[in-house]
Amino acid sequence: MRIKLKPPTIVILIYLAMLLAGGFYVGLPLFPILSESMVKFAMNGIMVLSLLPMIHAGVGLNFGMPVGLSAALVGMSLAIQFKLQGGVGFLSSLVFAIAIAVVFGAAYGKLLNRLKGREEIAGVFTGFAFIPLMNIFWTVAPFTNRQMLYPVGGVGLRPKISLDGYFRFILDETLVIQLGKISIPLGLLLFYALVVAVIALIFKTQNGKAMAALRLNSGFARLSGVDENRVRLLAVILSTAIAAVGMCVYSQSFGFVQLYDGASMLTFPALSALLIGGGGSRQATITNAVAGAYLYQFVYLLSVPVANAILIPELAELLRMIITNGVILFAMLMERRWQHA
Amino acid sequence: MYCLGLKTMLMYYQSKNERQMNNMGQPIIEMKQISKCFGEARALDQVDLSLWAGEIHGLVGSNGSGKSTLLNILNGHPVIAETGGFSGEIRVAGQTASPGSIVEAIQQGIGMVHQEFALMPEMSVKDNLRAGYEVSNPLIDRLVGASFSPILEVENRRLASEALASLGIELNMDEKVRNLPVHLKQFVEIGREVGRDGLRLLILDEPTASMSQENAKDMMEALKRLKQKGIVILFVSHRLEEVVSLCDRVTVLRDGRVVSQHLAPELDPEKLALDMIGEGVLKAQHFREENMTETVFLKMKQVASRTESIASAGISLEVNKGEVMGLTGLAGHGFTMPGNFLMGGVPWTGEIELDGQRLSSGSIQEALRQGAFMLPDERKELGLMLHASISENIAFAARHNLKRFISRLWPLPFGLSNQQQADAFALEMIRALGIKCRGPHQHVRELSGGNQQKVCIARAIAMSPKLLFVGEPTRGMDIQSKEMVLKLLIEMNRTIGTTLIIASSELEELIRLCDRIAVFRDGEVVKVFKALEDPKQMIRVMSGERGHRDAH
Repeated sequence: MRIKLKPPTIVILIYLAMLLAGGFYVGLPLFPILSESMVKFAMNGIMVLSLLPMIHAGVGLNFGMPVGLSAALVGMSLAIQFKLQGGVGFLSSLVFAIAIAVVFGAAYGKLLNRLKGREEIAGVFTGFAFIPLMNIFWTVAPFTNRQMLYPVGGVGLRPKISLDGYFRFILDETLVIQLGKISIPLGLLLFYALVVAVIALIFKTQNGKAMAALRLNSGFARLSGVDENRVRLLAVILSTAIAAVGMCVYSQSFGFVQLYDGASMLTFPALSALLIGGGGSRQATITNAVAGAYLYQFVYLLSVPVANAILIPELAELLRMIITNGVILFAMLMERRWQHA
Repeated sequence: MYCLGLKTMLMYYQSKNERQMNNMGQPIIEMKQISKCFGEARALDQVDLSLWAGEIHGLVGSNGSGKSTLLNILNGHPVIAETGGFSGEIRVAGQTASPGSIVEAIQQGIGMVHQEFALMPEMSVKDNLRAGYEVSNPLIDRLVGASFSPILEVENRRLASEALASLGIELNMDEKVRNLPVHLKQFVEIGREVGRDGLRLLILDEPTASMSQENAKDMMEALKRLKQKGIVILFVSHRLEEVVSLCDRVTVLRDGRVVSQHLAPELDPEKLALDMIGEGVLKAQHFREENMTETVFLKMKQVASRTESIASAGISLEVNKGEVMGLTGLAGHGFTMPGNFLMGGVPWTGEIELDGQRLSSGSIQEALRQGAFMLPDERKELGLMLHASISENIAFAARHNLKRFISRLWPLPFGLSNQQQADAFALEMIRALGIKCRGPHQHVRELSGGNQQKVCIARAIAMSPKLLFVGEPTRGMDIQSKEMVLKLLIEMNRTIGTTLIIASSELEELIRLCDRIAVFRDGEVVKVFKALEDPKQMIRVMSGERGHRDAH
């Protein structure tokens, strides 16, 4: 089988080669980075996977991911409020997060159905508008667990709630296998694989096939009896709910629930990772999402120490920003070309 | 033999035309041996057309006859150059000219008014009339260039009113164009072209399509005034009675060729329609036995579009169970609309009953549940997923509506698509219908038009519908594929008793296949014929003779 690499993938592979050369030059220990990359990959990877249902249904890239991420933040806050710890805490976080994401996703999906053809820009603004709205919620929500509240004054939630004693590293530290110098977080990877399997199964259902038909030819799908708005709504709800699951997984790895503007920092890297993996706003496969997530995280992990050693320390972060946002712009250019073809 | 006959006929017409036109001087526009191919499809084949000063020249032909391509060549539309240009020669006032762009066409004195308005709705009538060639102060023009020079308001207003006056109408120059009724917008479009210096040829593509008869009359009066100014008008219309009453000469195109030219006193809508459709229709034989019952399966009562701007009294039609019903008419007269109302999601008013059940407007799902299915005439746009496999195309509708090609995987609470079943069925269809392909996984976009239509028919077979609408089933196909497709449709009717409604401009095919044929004009059923009735009568009704209404 011939593998066709798209320009974003090529750019990132060149960058990766340069980093590896740089790493070799400064004598960077590779094994800890490899171990760390697996955690980072699964930690961020589910958010990348969450983009797939919307792309599959022709709704485009989910720039409004903060909607799903916020749902997860509320879900986790509820679990902490009820002092649910360990596996129970994490599972109940997931249940709360998904339930809230379904409600948020339905509202967001209805909005996108009214803005057909402009979903991506509508998503950007929904994301940006949703975060300040949630910021108000965090300050006034009647949570009472002292560990969540501002230490001074005791009103409003603190920006970073520690998950220590709740479900910090609950997946990261389950079934860790040591393979020589590399440690493999099997529990985390299995959870990631479970999400992949669920998405793959959904795409094989009648609704999954209807989503694909809408993307390929919405007129054909409508004439064949597909209720366009319902199926699109379903795709948006799915994307939002998977993003919420992704945020729960991210938080347990990170060790904190990051409220307020935290959610806004995660959308663009996820989009960028998918594009690096060869996906696009009109077509993206599970393979694109998996490969992209790993490549993006591995490059990021590698770039910080290499840049610190060779160049000025801030450069790694700057390069990451340039690549993240540049790749999204590039994808838009390609999209335009596709439309005019 | 046919070609020879055609050639002799054309030579006769041409020499007769030359004799008459010699009195009118040199032709303003001469098109010689114009041919144009889109890929392998030949859209125009050695077309000759001369237009003389002061004539209104009608151009008629059914959909796909090459009219639009010819107009695009004359008007320098970029699509022609993008698809490899054309062969042949165009002479404007004796000089070789070949407009490479719309701007060049305008410079050579060719103006065109499209069927869809190209106006700026938020700007005033005056601004629309003068847009792009406003008069500015000549002194300042020299200093800063015409594009930066201030516009002379009074002069432009005068020129704009003059342009409209030459059409015999007066309008408030400051009115916004979006507030004007449709027919006045059309006048503004024409006025804009007329106001240009050096206009020689005005091309009008269906200028009266969305007008009432009264407004169309005003339009024709205006065109007669323009003719007196020596402007050539190329008038393209499906309304044959207008063509006959307005034009000095009419050229009929069919399958990319000029099949005949007719001169003013002898113009006859029936002859024109016959030329458009082809003489073969007179010899067509009905070849199948009737399969229809007395039970009414589909009943449409005064069904009209809620959104369409064309006013119509609505479609009334009854189709019996097991019947093969043909819907036909000249292009643009709405014979594909019943399918769009029932299955295309076009909102409608009136009553539709399917198998005894009243349907609500715009619900495709409801019609599908009642066992109806549609293969639309826009095959590539709506009938297929070009970027998906043959198997996926065939299986999709049946999977979605009938839960075919789905199997349960324990312990999942929902069914999953069964690719093996879908592939096996697709393979069966590929063999049965003779679809030429590499296998069920080949993408549909790689197939020829005829094979794509067979995939569509396989989609319908997978659905086993009680009622099947097919729009233009043989458009763009070679003769062998046409026969195969028609045979397959009839097989469906015979074996599974599918009631068929075929909307087609190919009258000959309908006469061969259908039990009855409903003829449409201006968005209504004018008369329903038995297939064995005189085809000439059908053409007469199609081309404008308003008989008594016999919708049932």
